[in-house]
This record gives sequence, structure tokens and C-alpha cells, in this order.
Amino acid sequence: MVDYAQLSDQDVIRQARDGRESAFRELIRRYERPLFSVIYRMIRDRELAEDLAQDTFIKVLNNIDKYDPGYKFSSWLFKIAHNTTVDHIRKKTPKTLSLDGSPHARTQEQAEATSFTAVDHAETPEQFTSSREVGTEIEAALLEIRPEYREAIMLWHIEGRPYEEIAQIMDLPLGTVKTYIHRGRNELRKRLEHLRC
Amino acid sequence: MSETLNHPEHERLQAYAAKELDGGDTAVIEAHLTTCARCRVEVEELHSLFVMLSSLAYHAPAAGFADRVMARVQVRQPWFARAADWLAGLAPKSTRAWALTTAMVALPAVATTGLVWWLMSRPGVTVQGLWVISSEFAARVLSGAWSWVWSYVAGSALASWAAGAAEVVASVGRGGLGLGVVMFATLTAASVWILYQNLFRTEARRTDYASFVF
Repeated sequence: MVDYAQLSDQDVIRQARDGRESAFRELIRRYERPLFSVIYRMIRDRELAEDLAQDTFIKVLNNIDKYDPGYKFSSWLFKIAHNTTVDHIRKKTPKTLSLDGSPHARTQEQAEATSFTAVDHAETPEQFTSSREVGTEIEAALLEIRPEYREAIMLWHIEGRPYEEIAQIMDLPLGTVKTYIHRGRNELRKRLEHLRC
Repeated sequence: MSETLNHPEHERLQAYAAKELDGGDTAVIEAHLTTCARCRVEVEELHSLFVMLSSLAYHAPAAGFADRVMARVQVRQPWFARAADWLAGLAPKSTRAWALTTAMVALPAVATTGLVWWLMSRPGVTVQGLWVISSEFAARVLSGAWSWVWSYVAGSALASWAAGAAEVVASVGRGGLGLGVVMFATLTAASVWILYQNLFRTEARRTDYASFVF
């Protein structure tokens, strides 16, 4: 009996390619929490985050034969998660809709009648932090910074990914990633100023 | 005045706090920090921010997440993996079963070795003589088995059907034979196409959206 917990990612993937279901489950076990956390912190909607994490795993595991062992499996996984999440966010915010109502409206009433109100299902920072009963200041501060800063910060500080890998995952130049992380840290410091004694 | 006016840039202080600077740059920053309270505070804040961020707990998806994923994942097992699994399934599972299997394999081997040893100790028996006797015996057994199989096949319904088919082919001539070959090839190609469309050309095979090139 193979003890998958003792194997490296590459060895588990070899087993998965041989059609071992336990190997697929081991990959899910290893990465479900990190992957779900990144997506959940990005979109602040538990149900949606779970759907996107699920879609990511399904895409990756159904295409495990296409994985290039020359690269880290986790980078590939996070890259697909990033693309899936970004695609979802893009689809959710149609560019052609005017939020202020028809440009031909002449009165306030006409403008209101033709305006588009986006229903935002995302949790507020308070709901988000209380939903996991931790309610930490840092978690709330993280939610207030720009999503691209947040993602880069999470990948660097929580996942421990090097800059180069984050650049690959987010499909950004290396310099941009460093700038995002630098600015994100500065914003976090400002938002946590009140904690200073 | 204890602070120096040439404060390092924020990026450099962050790089110092993240331990990304080389030895020389680290020494320069540390020398500055000994005299600059403002930068010391900034570095301390950065350190505590780093600690807070790295101590953030993971969120967990709802129970049964892996099952929901696996319900939509196609696990394709290649033939060699199936064969390996089948062989692994044959292996004994307990110590007793291992002992029994070992005994079943070892006992005939020990008995054969003992027999050969005993024969070799008899006067007039040589290795060459033993080899000739053994190979003649094996040849006789194989030849007997082959003639039994042949007589069984030749007397079977399959053999008589093949003979009948050969007679039919001989009677229809070249044109009929060619027509038969074309019909057979067409039917084979159609069968392969139907199997490919329905069994092997799955949805997963058509997905290419997850392809990934660095």
C-alpha cells in the first residue's frame, strides 16, 4: 500500500497519471486549504470561492497528463486558480453597462429608472472575519487593500512563493509584482497604525 | 541630533525586513538603524506585519469538497497500471498467506534439487546424460501436447466451418473475393469509427482550456 503522504508532489502526480484515484485525492488534500484560502480572500464569498476552487481542481486533475514536470505543480495549480478567479470577476462586471442609467435620460427619475444596480454578494470585512470566528485586524485590513496587492501579498507572505513564481502565477512582470507587494505592505501598515501602542 | 537625514528608501527597508539584502547592504542598513529611531520603528512595524501575515490561518472548504471534485474528475487507468494492480492484488495479504505461498514455491524447488542431487550421486550418472534424458522427456511431453491440441482443433466445428468457407471462396472466384474484402474493410472501418465516437472521444479529451505554458 502506497503511503501518499510521504511522497513528493512529482511522485504523487506520477501515481495520478497511472490512474490511481488515491493520488488525485492526495493532491486535493494537500492544496484544498491554501487554494481555497487564496480564492476566498480574493472574492470574499464562501460559496463562490468553493465553486471556483472546485473548478480549478477539476481543470487541473482532468488535464494532469498535460502537466510539465519541469515546473512546480503548485505554481500550475495557483496559476489556473488565478485565471479562473480573474475570468469570473471579468464576467461578473460587464463593461458596456452604465451604472448611472441611460445617457439619454433627462430627469433624475428617468436616470434612476434606467440605472443598473449591481448586487454584490461579497461579504463585508466584518462578515468575512466573523464568519471564521477569528476576526483578526490583519484579516480585515487585508480585505481593504486592492485585490491585486492582496493576491501578491498572500502568495508571498502566506504561501511563501518567490517573486518569480508570483509573476508567473499572476502573469505580470517581476517589477510589477515587487511594486504590488511593496505598496500592499505600506497600505497594510497604514491600516494597522491604530494597533501601535 | 541622533537621526541621520539620509534615510534608506522604504523598498530597501522592506527588503531588509524580508532578509532579501546581501551582506554589504544589510550592514549599511543596520548601521543606519543604530542611529535612526524613525527607521527602527518602521522596521519593527514591518517585522510585526510579517509575523501577523505569516500567522494567518487557512480557510477550509466545506466537508466533502474532495468528493465533489472527484465526482467530476475522470480517472483513466492505463493498461499497465491495471495489470500492476491486478498482480498486486494477487500478492498475499497476511503473514500466514506469505508463509503458505513461500512453502508452495519452495517445496517443489527443494524436492527437485534433492532429486537432482540424489541422481548425481548415483554411479554412472553424469550432468550431460541427465541433460539428454531431461530434454528428450520434455520434447516428448511437448510433442504429445501439440498433437492433442491439433487433433482437437482439426476435429472441431470451427475447422469444418473454415473448410466450408474456403470452398465457398474458391467457388466465387477473384471478383467475389475482392467484393468480400471490400465489404469486410468497410464494416471494420465503420465499427472503429462508431467505437471512437462513443467510447473514446470523451468530453475531457476535448478540453484544452487548462493548457499552461510558462
